[in-house]
Amino acid sequence: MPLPAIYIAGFWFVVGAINLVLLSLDAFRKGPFITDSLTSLCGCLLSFGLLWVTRHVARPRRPWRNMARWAAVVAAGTALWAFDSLMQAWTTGHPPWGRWPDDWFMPLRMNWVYFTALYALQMVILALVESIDALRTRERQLLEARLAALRFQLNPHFLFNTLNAISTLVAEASVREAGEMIERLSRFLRASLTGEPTDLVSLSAELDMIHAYLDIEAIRFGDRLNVRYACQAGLAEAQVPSFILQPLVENAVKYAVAPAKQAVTIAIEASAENESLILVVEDDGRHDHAMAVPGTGVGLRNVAARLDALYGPAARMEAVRRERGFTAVIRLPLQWSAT
Amino acid sequence: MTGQVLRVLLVDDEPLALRRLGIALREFPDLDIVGTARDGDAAVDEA
Repeated sequence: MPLPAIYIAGFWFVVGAINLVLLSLDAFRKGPFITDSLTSLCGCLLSFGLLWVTRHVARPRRPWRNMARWAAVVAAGTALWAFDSLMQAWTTGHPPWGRWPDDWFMPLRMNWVYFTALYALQMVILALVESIDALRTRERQLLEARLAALRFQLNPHFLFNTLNAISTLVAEASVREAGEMIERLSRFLRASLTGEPTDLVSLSAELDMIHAYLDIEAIRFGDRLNVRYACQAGLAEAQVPSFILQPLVENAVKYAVAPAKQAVTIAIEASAENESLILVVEDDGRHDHAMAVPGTGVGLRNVAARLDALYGPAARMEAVRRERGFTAVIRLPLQWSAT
Repeated sequence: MTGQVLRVLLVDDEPLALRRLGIALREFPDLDIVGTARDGDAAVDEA
């Protein structure tokens, strides 16, 4: 609301100022100064009225809005024309009633066309801004929907495995372990389901969430899962897209830990390099599964798509399948929370 | 099942799943859980 109002006020201020400059070049008389300023003020108020009508009465999507808008344009033009005519009559000493001199006819009629055209122009610009806004909103909604869809491809198996594990712990009456497990699941679900998909979170929050996730998986896999964290000091408050590491860690669990007989180590590393934040998820499992070919997994595609949507070319992900194990590297601009 | 006791070896790669199976099967008096194993090789060794 405030921005168009500022433009309108600015426009009429400039019109008024130009009129005053022209008047002072012509001849310095007090009357026209006052009347021209009043005309500009009246024009400004009518512009605000037109804005109000556009926003509140003839709103977008109302069926008769175009008719109402153009009626308002003509009404505003006529009102300003009438006001200006009266002002001119007043400054030239002619009373506003009675028959006006014949030579006033043309300028006055042209004034009506001029004022009405001015308001028509305002209406066209307002309609243009409106359609641009609508387009932007739609684009943003599409993007948000896409991001949400990408992120909620959260593996349902994980949820069921966890619930089964909890049910086992309850059946065994391992009350403390069951409680811990529920607490971890709750932490993980809170991070995954409550944040906005476009949210940035601190690296420490993201790692906490990964920690909760891997703690749950550690109970599932027992001593087959080792985790190593290596986070460079001072990066705890760096901003990362929420949930960006999770698909990578989940892949490591799914393709390296789950099929393995031996212990597998998942390494999660964070470092800064030239204004870039570098996040690495690495494992030393075997990756026999076809999905582990870099770039083909749903999880990897999701991460790449989210980075692209949020940072464009400023961020990228590389995934490398090694002789033994798999490495995924994310580079994104190093950002800090605004607060 | 009449009188004969089935001897059961539990095999699963997830420790919790083994525990869960154990709890579930303990309910049946004619099943005898003789051991657990975490993968096929270990199961063959156990057997």
